[in-house]
Amino acid sequence: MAEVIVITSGKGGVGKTTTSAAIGTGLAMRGYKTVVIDFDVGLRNLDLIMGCERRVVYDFVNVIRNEANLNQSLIRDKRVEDLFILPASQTRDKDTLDIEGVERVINQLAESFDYIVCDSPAGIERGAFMAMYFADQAVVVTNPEVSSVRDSDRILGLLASKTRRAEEGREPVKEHLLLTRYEPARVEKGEMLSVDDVKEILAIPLLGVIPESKDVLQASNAGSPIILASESDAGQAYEDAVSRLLGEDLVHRFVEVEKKGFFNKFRLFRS
Amino acid sequence: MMSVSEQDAAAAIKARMVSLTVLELFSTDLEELDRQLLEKVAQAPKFFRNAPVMIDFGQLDQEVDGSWLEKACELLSANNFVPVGITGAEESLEFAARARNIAVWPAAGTARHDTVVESPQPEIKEEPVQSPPAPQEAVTPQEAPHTETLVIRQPVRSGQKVYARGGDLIVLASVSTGAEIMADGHIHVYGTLRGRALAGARGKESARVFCNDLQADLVSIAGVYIINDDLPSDMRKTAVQIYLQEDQLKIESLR
Repeated sequence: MAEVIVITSGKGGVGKTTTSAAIGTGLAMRGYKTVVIDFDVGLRNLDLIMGCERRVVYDFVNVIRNEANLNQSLIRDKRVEDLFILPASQTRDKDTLDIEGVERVINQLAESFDYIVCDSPAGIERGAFMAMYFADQAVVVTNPEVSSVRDSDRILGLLASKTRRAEEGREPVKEHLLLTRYEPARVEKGEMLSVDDVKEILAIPLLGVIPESKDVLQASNAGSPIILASESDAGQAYEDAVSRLLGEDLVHRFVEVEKKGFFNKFRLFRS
Repeated sequence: MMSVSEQDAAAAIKARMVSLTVLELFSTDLEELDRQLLEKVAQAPKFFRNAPVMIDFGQLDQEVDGSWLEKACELLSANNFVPVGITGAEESLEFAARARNIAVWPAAGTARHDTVVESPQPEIKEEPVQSPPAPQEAVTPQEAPHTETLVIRQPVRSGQKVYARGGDLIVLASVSTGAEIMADGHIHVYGTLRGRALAGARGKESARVFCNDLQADLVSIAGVYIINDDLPSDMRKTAVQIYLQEDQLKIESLR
């Protein structure tokens, strides 16, 4: 049975699509057959981040409306085997999505995939509900700032009540917190919420902390998921997050300020 | 002349927050309304018995007249509601309402914006009744009538509402800012209280609020409230109980 993972946040611009691309790619690299679905109908971005924008012929909405079949719409990734993308439509709006259609597509994908990663649009409207409704797990992407934390809190409330699992009274959606754009130096100065602050407010397990990194923007522009940049901090942090998603227990990296050379030497003298 | 002393006063006029069921109208079809009300009441008969109802015309695009209002009120009474007021109505209807001794609230747009804190006659919107029923996203204890303690084990998150009608409320987790918890009795929060907590929602003055970590947006007991800005700094982030004493909220450390 496929595992459906929604990547959501409430707030826009916190890194949902970057995370969807990274986690989807990461799972496929470990040998799991994975599809990433872009639910952001009308504001299609996932294809750009994953570098397949020139290969989109049919999209998610075409499949929902039976205008194309799944095989015509799925785009196979050129770098990673077992990775597929189901792009959103750029010319429709989110009201085109209907729950029966989404269910049919997800059920069909579940027959052949191990993981179905749903990239949710921002907000708490139709598109976001459709993306979360069938989820088994949720990765709540949060920036270390108060408005993002509050929106994540709202989304967690919806995950607990507005998903199929909640409606059917089954085991609740498994929630994960992913803190992105984290800058330990600014946390130390008190300019940014700390990992512990956010954990305390949201009270869900921490999947990972992705440090703020210039590599992310560069990777997005290049259409290459950041997780493929294995020398980058952010890429490594996503690698760790994928491992934790698969049940490994790893120490969280990138949460402390890196001690610079001078301090290191200074410490050496003292000890 | 001396002014009337406290003891001699026959009455005192006070502002108090009360819980009110709001009936938002989307259609003027009385038969349909009757049918849907029956359905709602059947789900939780005790919960709605003699519940005061405010009729909200804000969502309605059709115009209705005084005789329609009359019929609607009869219909509500027949379903064991007590129609007490209207809001968001046309001027002519407001006139008709006043003639029938039904209170007129300011339209929803204005009423909701001056929140509980600023409004002299604050009104709390509780939405168990909607016609047609809107999807409930909050934890919904409303479905079953609670006359006993309601225990919530999950965090109460921003945007959620929990109301323990007729009894006490115990939350074993934290209450986020932007969440609202209400009880006709006491409220206990064993995590951090960041949202709004309204104990004694139907006027029980002996109700208390207990919490492990006070960071509330607002705490109210029987309509007397305090907002976050006014919380004494030595009580913030500590375990406290809050109760009413001579119409004043007392915050007392539990340490």
